[in-house]
Order: sequence, then structure tokens, then C-alpha cells
Amino acid sequence: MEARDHNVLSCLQRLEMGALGFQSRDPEEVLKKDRLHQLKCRALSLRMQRNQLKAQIQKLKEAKAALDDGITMDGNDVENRVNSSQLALPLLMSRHTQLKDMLRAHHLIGGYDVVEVDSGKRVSFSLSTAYEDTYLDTYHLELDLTRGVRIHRHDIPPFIPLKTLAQENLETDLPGFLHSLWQHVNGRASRQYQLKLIKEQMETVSVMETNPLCSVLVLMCKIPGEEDTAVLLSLLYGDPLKALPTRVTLESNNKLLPDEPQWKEVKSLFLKTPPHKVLLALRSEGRIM
Amino acid sequence: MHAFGRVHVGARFATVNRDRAIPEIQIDTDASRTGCWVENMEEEYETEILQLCEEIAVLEVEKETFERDVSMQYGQYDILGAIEEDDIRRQDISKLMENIEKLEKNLARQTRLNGITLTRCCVKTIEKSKIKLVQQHRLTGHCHLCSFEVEFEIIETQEDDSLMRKVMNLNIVVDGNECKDISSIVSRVEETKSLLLFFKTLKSFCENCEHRRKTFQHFKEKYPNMVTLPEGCQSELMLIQSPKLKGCSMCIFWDIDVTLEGEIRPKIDLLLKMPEEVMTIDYNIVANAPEYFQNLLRILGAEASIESVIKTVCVTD
Repeated sequence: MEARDHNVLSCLQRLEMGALGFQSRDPEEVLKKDRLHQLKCRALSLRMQRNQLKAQIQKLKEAKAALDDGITMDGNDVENRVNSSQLALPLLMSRHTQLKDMLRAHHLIGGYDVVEVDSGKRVSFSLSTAYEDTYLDTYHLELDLTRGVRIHRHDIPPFIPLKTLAQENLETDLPGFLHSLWQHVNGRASRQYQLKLIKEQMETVSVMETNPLCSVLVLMCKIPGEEDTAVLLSLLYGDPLKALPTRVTLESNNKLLPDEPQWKEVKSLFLKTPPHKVLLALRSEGRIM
Repeated sequence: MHAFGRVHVGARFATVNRDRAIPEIQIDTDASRTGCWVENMEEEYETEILQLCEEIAVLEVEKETFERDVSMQYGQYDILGAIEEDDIRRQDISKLMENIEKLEKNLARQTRLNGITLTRCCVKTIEKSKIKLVQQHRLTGHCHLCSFEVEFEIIETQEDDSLMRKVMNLNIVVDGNECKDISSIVSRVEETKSLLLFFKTLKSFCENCEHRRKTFQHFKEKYPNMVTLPEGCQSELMLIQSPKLKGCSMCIFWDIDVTLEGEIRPKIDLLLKMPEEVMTIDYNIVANAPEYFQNLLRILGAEASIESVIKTVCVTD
């Protein structure tokens, strides 16, 4: 029975394809017809979307013209009531976009993007990080508010002391806790980004040592013109919140080099200026390769 | 098998449901006899789809621009309150109103937790494509008693599977009694375009100022005869003088220092002024007082330390 049905179906299909102008019953052609159908549907829906947008823009233009003419949605006369229908949708759409703009602005200036989950039982926060003009990774934290305040889940890396910070003031001072957490996460993201810049912009400098928290950075630089001389810079970031090191040590196989005044100056420069900027300056001055 | 229309099994002829919509593309009937007719159609649809996507992107920017124009001029309008009953019954309007209410609640939540109130937000899309978005923003608002106006440009580029976002052309104006103290960090932030750092720092700074203001205000109200704020409650100076002990005065200097890296360092100092007679008896009292106060601060914190200092000159009858 099945085999016969199959034959009947394929026979009818061949008839249909013949009616539509197809001569072949190649399975590849069948697939192509499927894809053609999909493309047609997509084109149709995009056409509809485009036409809807054009209509909405037209309504907005008319609404703005009406508002400019002084027509408002107040007023009790019939004429204004007729107009209010015309204004309602465009004004609502404008307000919708305005609110979305404001929420995005809050996000751009470092807001926590608070979202209530599960009808208020849990709240999620986003922590945006940035170094100078570049936005870096965003981290997330979800808190359970049903019995006190507890961390439900998060994607904070393990070398950030989340538990310690939570014990300090999660329950007593939520804004304070979020700010301290942000400082830790942003400090580390900034140091990591500076390391990325060093690797990208200074290929001749070798990164000898680093760690996940980016609290230690050891770099080796070669001196131009002196083939066997290299300088080993150790940057220790004692404060996990800061993007500048707290201690800089300079070593070299040329034992006299670290005591030279210009290299002592370099050491102090690393304490005040981001490392990639110092290295770039040194290279442009010909002090390192 | 059923993709091409309804087929009645058992019927002698196949019934085909032809698509009602007529495509905008002309079918070349001569080429239709060959298998490559399908490929031609595919190409034409693909081209149309690309064109439509581009057109839609342009129209979306145009729509947003008109919407923002309307908000700019008529945004203060209480739109939700003004919608007529008849219109609310329309599904598209009621759905939109519901979404707007959700967004307003969300905005109130963000404002509360972020500690920053935005009163005006002007956005202009300069460039928008699948891989790049450039927008100009001008934000006006305040954080506690400090008001700001910030202009910047955001450039977003789609790189492989990640989004790169950068800040350009940052301009900041701050206004407020305490804000003269942060002018150096404002310049540094504009130079390095550190938008995020600026707002985090501003928030910490303003919270510190608010704490100082409240503390000073509290002591002025609690000890009105002894505490004066010669430069107002938003300044860093509090004066403690007992009317009974003439010539003795204590100055509390509560500085809120901001480093160029955005670190807030509050520094509270005590300065003692004693009349000549006291100085001859015990000079050290004036010299040691500041250090004594710093020790007190470490143990008791700001409010308790200041209170205990006030109490030392509280001479009861």
C-alpha cells in the first residue's frame, strides 16, 4: 500500500511540476524549488515591512505638521477629536523611541541595566567595563531577593574576590557592593586591555609573564644597536582597582644600565603613564626596539 | 512533498494552489523551459531582498529621525494621559501604550539605582549600516546637586563575532557649587574620552559631597549655638565655637579630592585656634590636635569623631 501511495504521490508531483513548467524530477531541482519558495516569502515580507515603514513615516510627517500648526490633543471640539486619532500613534511611537534612547544612554554611561526577573523574585545587573574610550566586556550578576539578598548566578571571573565583597556589604549596602565589584572588574579589564595593546602595537617587546588578574606584567625589551643587551621590566599592580602599577623594577644583563638616570626616569614614568604609551614613546625615541 | 500545494490522493488530477501574489519580477517564459530558470529567479529574488534590506535600513533611520524630532519639540507632552478612549481600543495603540508603560517603569528603576537623572536625551544617527553605527548624543541631567551636559559620539563596528564600541568627541560641562573641584578630572576625561569613568567618578564624588552636606547640616541643627557653616552647607568648612570659651575655635576641613584616575579621597582635617593664654600653658594642644583627630577618625569614623570634638567644647552650666 505504501509503495503504491508513494508512486501515486510522485506521479502527481511530476504532473504538477510539469504544469508549472518543470521537465525534470531531479531531487536537486526539488530542493531548489523549496529555496525559491523561501526566497519569495522573504521578499514578500520585506516588501510589506518596507511599505509599513513608509506609511509610518508619512503619518509622522503629518503629525509633526499638525503639531507645528498648533493642533494639540486637548480641546473638546469635534475637529480636534478627529485630529487626535491622527496624532495618537505617531506621538506614542515618538515617546517609545525617546524612552529607548534614554535607556540606551543609561547603559552607555555605565548604568547597571537592572532587569526584574521572575516577577521581582530575582534581579539581574550588568557591569560594563571600559578603558578610556573603548568599551570592554560586560559582566552579569543575578541576585535572589526572596530571603535576604543572595547571589543566584553570575559570570564574574574566579580571580575577582566576589565572595569577600559580598560578605562585606551585599545585604547592607547594595549600591556600595555593586560599585566595589565594578571597580575590581573594571580594574582588571583595563589592565588586560593595556596588555592587548602592548601585544598589538609592540611586537618586538616580549611578554615574559602575566597572570589572569593581570596584576603582574614582565616585559623584555631589546636595545637597538646593542645586540646582546636586553631590559627586563617588572610591573607589579598592588592595587587591584587601579590600571597603573604600584611598583616597577628594571633589570638588565648590562649591569650598569638600571642605574643610568634616563632609565631611572623610565621606571618612574611607568608609575604614572599607561605601559603601552610609555613603550611607544621609548620606541619612537629609539631607546628600545 | 506537500510544499507545492494540496494534492488529493486518489484524484485523477493534481490540484495545485497557485500563489496568489504576483511577483514583481517578469518571468522569461522562454528560459522557463530550462532548469536554469530556477537559478535566474533565485538570483532576482536575492537581488531584490538585498535592495529591500538596504531600503528598510534607510527608512528605519528616517523614521527614528522623525520620531526624535517630534520628541524634541513635543516630548514633554503627557502622551499616555491624552489618548482618547476610542483610540485605546485599537490593538496597535493599546499594545504600544503597554510597552511604553513598561519602559517608563524600567527607566525609573535605572534612574534610582544608577543615581543619575537624565532630563534630556538628544540622539542623532550619523551613519547606520550592517557593520557600522555612528550616533551623536547630547545628555542633560543631574547627579544629586551637580548638573551636567555631556556631548559625545559613539561608534559601533561589527568585527567578526564581536561588537567594538568607542567614544569620540567628548565634551563635558558640569555645574554646581562643589563642581569646581572636579574641573581637572573633567579635562583629563575629555582628553582620554573616558565617558564611563567620568560618570562613575561623578556619582562617587556627588555621593561624598552629599554625605558631607548632610553631616554638616545635621551638626548645625543639633548644636546651633556652636556650629556655623560660614560658607554654606555645601562647602568644605565647618566651624565649631563655644560661646563660653572665647577665642577658642575649631575648624573642620572636609576635602573631597579626586585623582586623575577617578579615585575619590575624602580628607578630613581639624585645625585648632586657641587664645594666647592657653598657648602659653600648653602649646602642644594645638600642635597635637590634628594628629589626635586623625587617630579618632580611623577608629570612630567621620560623624562620631566630629561629634566627640564638639562635645569637648560643650561646656554645660
